Amino acid sequence: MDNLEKDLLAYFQSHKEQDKEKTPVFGAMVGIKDAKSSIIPLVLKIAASFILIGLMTWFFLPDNHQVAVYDSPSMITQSLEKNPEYLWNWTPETQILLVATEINQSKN
Amino acid sequence: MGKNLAMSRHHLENRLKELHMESFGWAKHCCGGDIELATEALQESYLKVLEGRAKFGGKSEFKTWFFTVLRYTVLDMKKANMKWQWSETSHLELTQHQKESQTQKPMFAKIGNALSELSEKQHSIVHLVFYQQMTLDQAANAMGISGGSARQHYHRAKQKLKNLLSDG
Repeated sequence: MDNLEKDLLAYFQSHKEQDKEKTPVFGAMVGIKDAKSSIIPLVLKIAASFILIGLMTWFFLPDNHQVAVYDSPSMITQSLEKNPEYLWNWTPETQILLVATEINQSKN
Repeated sequence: MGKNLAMSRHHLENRLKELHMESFGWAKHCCGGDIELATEALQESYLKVLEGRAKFGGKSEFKTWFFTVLRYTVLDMKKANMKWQWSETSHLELTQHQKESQTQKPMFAKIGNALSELSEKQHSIVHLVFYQQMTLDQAANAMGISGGSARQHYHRAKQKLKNLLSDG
C-alpha cells in the first residue's frame, strides 16, 4: 500500500465515521412505506365493516324501533297485550318477531 | 427461480440491515452528498428488494448486487421528475467535502478537493475501493462495468490524485 492509498483509506474512514451519525434508522426506513401500505387497507376494511353493519341494520331492522327494547318473551307478551297493533308493524325477518309470533300463537 | 424468491422477507431484511451503513454511504455518494435524496433512494431500493421488484439472481455477491440496484434507483430518480434538483445538488458533494475538510486535517482538505476533480466513474471506483473496501472486481460489478475498465478508471484516478496532491 503506497502513501496515497493510506491517505485515501484514512480520509474515507473518517467520512465513514461521520456518516455513522447521519445514517437513518434501518427499521424506520423499511417500515415507513410498509406501514402505510398495511395501515391503508386496514382502515379501508374497518370503514367497509362499519358501512356494512350500517346497511345491514337499515335493511333488517324493522321500522318500529321499539323492537329493540323487547329483550325477553315476557316483555313482548306484555307489549302485545297492551299494543296488539305492534304485530302488524313488525317485519317477519327478525328472530324477535318469530318469538313474538310464537308467543302470540300460543296465547291464542 | 431466483434466490430472491427463496429468501424470506425476514432473511432479506437481515441481509439489507447488515449492509445498511455501507449502503447509505454508497447512496450518499451516488446522490452527490445529498442526505435527503440518499435516504429516499435507499428506501426505494429497499422496497424494490423486499417487494420482489428487484430479484437477486446469485450471479454476484449480495452487496455488489444491491449496490447496482441502488445505483439504478438513483439514475431513475435523476431521469424522473427531479431534474431541477439535481443540477443544484451536483456540486453538493464538492462543497460538503470542502466544508468538512475545513474542520479536519489539512491533508483531508487537499484530498477532498482533489477527489472533486475526478470524473464520476473515477470518484465512484475510489469510493468503492477505499470507503466500501471492495476489490476492483467487486467495484466493477457494483458499477456495471468490466473488470478491465474498472482497473483503468482506478489507475487513472490514482494518477490524477497523485498529480493534484503533489501540485497542492
